[in-house]
Amino acid sequence: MSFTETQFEDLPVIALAGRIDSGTAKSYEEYLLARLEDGRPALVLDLAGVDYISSAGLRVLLIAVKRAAAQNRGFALCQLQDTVAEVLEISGLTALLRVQPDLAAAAAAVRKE
Amino acid sequence: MSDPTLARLTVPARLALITPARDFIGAVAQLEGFAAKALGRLELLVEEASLFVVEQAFEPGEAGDYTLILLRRPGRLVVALEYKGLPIDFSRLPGEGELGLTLMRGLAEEIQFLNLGKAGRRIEFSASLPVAPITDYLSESERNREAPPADAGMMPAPRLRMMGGEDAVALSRCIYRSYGYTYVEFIYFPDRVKEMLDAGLMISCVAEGEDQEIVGHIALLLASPEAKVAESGIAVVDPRYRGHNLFKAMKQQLIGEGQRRGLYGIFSEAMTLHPFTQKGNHSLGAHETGFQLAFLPRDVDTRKIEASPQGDRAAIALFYLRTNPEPPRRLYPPARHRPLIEDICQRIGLDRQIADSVGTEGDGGETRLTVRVRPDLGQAFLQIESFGADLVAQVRHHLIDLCCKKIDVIYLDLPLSDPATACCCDGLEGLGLFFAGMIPELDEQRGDVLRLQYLNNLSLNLEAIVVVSPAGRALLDHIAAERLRVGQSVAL
Repeated sequence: MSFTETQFEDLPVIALAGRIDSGTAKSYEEYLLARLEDGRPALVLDLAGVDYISSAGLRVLLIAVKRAAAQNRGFALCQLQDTVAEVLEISGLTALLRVQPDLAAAAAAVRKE
Repeated sequence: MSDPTLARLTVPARLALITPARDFIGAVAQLEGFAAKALGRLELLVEEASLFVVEQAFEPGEAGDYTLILLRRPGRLVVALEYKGLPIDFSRLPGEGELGLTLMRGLAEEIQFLNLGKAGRRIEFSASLPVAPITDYLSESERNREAPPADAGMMPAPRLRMMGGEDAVALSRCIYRSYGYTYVEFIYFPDRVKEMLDAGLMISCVAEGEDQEIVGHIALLLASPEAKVAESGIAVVDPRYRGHNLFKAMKQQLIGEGQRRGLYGIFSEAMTLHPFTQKGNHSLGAHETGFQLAFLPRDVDTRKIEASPQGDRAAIALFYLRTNPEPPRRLYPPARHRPLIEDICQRIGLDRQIADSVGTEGDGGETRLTVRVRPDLGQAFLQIESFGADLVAQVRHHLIDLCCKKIDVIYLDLPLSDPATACCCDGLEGLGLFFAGMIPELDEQRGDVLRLQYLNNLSLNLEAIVVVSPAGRALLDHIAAERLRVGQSVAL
């Protein structure tokens, strides 16, 4: 489990890595909600390093997208591995979680919101 | 015969212990040769099933545990979770919070929810073991080969014999050559076919052409090596050898084998897009026992036979062929379906006494019900193990849940030897379930089952269902009338 803060153009990006499961979900949730309190205009999550997500992880992402919407901030996920994309597809949450193919598309999506 | 246990782990029902338990099961599965992607799916299923148990079966803070069992079955690795906890509240509708169940149904090839009565509950799912597909055994030219053209009667008549495990590659080769990749999946994996044969779950007859090449096949599939009825299937004839009446000859050989082994009977599912399979069944002495509307998904290969579309999916006719005397039984069919059940028993020659309902609706306890889901085929099968006061509520809960998960067709089997079947049927039909037919001796302990069916908002064209006999027509007319009578989803 790791969190790395990077930048794409002028937009802060958080790169997550590892497994988001029932063992790590709480830590991810606390970290993401804390980032939403720091005044950033949008939450862009780069999931290229995440190779496993369970329903516990999906709940964390749902909490984050709802909190971002409540604060009028943009939200997008990008660069999903195939296994993670499949889980989102089965759960029917791909659109709700604003999944984008890459960082450029994610940046464009949150700027439109 | 019990399945070999690879691992067994009892875990306290605590959130923090789910991932270590999952990782243990993953490590054992890795020893069985699972590659990273398949392993990830299996681990996810274990985590979701464990989460479901920890969150739903125990009160917060309640001490309890569950047991993870890893089993080996022919061609498959099976994971079971057994637990004793709170009964699920079936009066509560399946909710949006059941994200884990959605993932389990989406990821599992097959999943079962079993109520073990006093022994608790069991969730079971399986994954195919990694074995080489038939394409690994083929040369480049064979891989690119077109299906051979039909040339009826030009080839010498093949020799029929029973199949052994050493024929598994040749059989997969025959099916691939004839139909490409459109048949039931396991048949393309010779190691799985061999395991099924060795375990006594598959009895096959093959037709052998020139150079010992397999050019035809038909199988009996058994739910367990001790099963007393078998399902006939996987009928394949190489197009070059059509015209030799191979299907009938192979099936006759299998019927003889079934008689020798003491099977009570053989049931089969015949396509209704054309008359050929149904006529073939009649010529062998089999009889219609029902119709399952919309059973087959649209993408199942219909072998390019021109047919009128039946709508979203296609119906099959159920057939039964008696091969040995079965135990005499007393049946309790619902009054509405009694004439048809009597007719089926009479046509087949079953030793049955049809009794009137005696007004019992079960023992008043909790209903025991097994749910088996095939997400890839859009099918689910519910089987009543014992009747309780909550029968209709439980079935309603599962119907709603399965419909929300986009399962197209749901079947419910009721034991006809249980007097409660006659009494409870009305309540179940009030949910939109309607008559599908009867399958003799399907239940290993209790014998014949009455099968009801539920369609999840499908468009149907019943006119396009091909029926070849007056008895079949009478069955289908009753089913069509019952479908109209119960309406659809009326009480959901």
